[in-house]
Amino acid sequence: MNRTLAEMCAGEHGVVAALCLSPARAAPLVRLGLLPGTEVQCLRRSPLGDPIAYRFRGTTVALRSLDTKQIVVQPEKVVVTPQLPALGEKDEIRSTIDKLRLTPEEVLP
Amino acid sequence: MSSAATKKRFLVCLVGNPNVGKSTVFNELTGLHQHTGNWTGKTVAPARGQWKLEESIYETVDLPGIYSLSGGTPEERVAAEFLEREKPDCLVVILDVTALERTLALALELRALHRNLVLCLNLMDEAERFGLHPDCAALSAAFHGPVVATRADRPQSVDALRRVIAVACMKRREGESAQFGMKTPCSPTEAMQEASVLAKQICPERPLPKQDWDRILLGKWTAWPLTLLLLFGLLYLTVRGANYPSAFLEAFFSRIGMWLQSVLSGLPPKLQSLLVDGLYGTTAKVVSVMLPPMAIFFPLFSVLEDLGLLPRLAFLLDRPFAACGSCGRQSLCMCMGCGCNAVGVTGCRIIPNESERIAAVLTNALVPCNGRFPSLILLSGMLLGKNGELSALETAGILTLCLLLACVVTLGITALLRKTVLRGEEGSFVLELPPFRRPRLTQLLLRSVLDRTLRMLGRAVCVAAPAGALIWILAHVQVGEEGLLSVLAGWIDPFAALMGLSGTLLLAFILSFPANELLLPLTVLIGTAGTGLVGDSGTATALTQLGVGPQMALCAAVFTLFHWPCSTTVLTVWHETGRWKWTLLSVLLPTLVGTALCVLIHGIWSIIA
Repeated sequence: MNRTLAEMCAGEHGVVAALCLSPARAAPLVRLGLLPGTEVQCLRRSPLGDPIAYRFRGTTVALRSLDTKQIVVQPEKVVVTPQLPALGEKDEIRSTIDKLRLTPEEVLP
Repeated sequence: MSSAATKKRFLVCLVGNPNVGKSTVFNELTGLHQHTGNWTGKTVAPARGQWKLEESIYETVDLPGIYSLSGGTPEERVAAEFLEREKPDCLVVILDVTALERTLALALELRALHRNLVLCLNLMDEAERFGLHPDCAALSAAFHGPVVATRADRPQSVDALRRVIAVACMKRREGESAQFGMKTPCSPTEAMQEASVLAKQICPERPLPKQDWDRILLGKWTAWPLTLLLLFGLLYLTVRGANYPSAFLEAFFSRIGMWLQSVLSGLPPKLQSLLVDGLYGTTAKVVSVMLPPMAIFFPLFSVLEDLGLLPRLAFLLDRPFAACGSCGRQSLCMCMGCGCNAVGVTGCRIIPNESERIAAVLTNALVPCNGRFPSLILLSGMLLGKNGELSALETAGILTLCLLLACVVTLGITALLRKTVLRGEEGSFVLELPPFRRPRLTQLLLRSVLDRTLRMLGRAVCVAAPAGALIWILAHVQVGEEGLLSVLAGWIDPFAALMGLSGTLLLAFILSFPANELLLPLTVLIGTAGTGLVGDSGTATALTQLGVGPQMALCAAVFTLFHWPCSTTVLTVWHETGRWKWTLLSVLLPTLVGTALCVLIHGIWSIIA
């Protein structure tokens, strides 16, 4: 079952499947290593609910739900091919959706 | 060969991800005291220093932390351009052992472009605590280059790094660097994937850092009381601890004043008064009022900074800031502004979104800096205390309220700016929460006392001495019957009265533009027409004699909180924004807020009274 990063509960693990964000918004996340295929653990919510702290690639990073709502994660056991596009141009997103067999409504706002 | 000929100069460059301890390594290498702290984006400009080893000089540059060379952020462009232009002899890539996977990616990217890498595995002490055992030999083999392990708790470990750098530089000069395999450039994404594989080989363990403290500090119910308690505690210790040395210094300077008077008794009385009352008196007052709180506040603040609490504060506060069109990082700039607004304004560079950054720059002076604390303490004592004094507990409480008020006003003004002149897309918020680190106390004391406190004090004294003399002269220049200052104070008195202040106080506010610390000493100096600060009576008594009642004290306190930033801050704003428009606005905004509040308070007070 595919969900977004924002829907993960504290303590849950997952693997990033796709970043459905504009290149400008995806860039800071990619820079920190949040790429498709990256294992992520949701650590804790801020007391006011947003942002949420995630752990990936050995570091803890706080992200806003504005961004994490657009990031698709899969349960950790599924192996994702690393060739998936990193930045979400519309076409690339569509092909990603096809590959993951998602319905477009699940991903695109 | 003569020794002059063998003396060589090499350029060494430190690069690495943010918050891996680059500045700490840099300080150990060069013996300088570059500001360090446990949070991302602290180093905002490259720092230079040099060290010697066996007749050679190694010029060393500490670049701001970067994640890749792709040029997506200003720091990355600065770093990439610097490496391109200066072509350093040796590139030291600092890696954080506890986050090897992420920090290795940059090293892999650099390996493709530069031949002369030295890998520095930093924070080995932290790795040991986590039970990590990185395989340095495997890492060295992967990079065909030297790997040095350094630890934060043992500065001697940098000696090994020095020698390795020296060897790398020599080899580079002798053209032996061909052994570094020059690979085709790789994209940051490829580097990241390669790093992931490599990190698993070198250090298979990947422990989660302890969550106990975060559970409490960032807990749903505990976070807010703890944050308030921490702020209150910080201010309480500052106020409480500053009382005794302040009193001691005041008595001490008063003695010296008497002694000076007796030594200078041969001089004409006018000149004697200029030197003792004007120049010496003002300087002594500023030092005795300013030094103790600073010498306590800065080290305490540094402890919080080194522990890693500041990014957590940003994590807590992001939601309210987001609601006002800004991000949690602004709270970090405000914390720094609490020490010194000029530093806070420069610190706004950590905000990546341009509109948000400008808004943070413009509102920074709404947070009272350390130089304004003494005035706030004294005025609140006059307003609420018995005999003009408050206990340290009460004073800290009032200061906490002042800071909270400043935060609320900052949020409001930020929201206003983002809805009017600084409209723009909502920026993202991506912030690393570093692991808690034990502060290095000796380093910290040295750094905060020697660097921050003494530098701030030096600046204040440099301004206070001439300002004191100038004011004395102005007070003694006769215009008709009265001194020039009294005439000026008389002129602005009607306007000041509207704000519930006196002409003397408002003039003191205007004249303390070079440094906020000058406010109260100047008020007394203007009010007494330059006849002396070196008496036994305290500033509070002197102010009461000048007719400063409770209402005026309240208005003065509010205007101390919100008025134009000091000259250094204004210059920094101009430097950071590059536009007169913003500089002017940064002066106008707090002034308007302060004036409006003062007029309001005065109005309400006169209706009630």
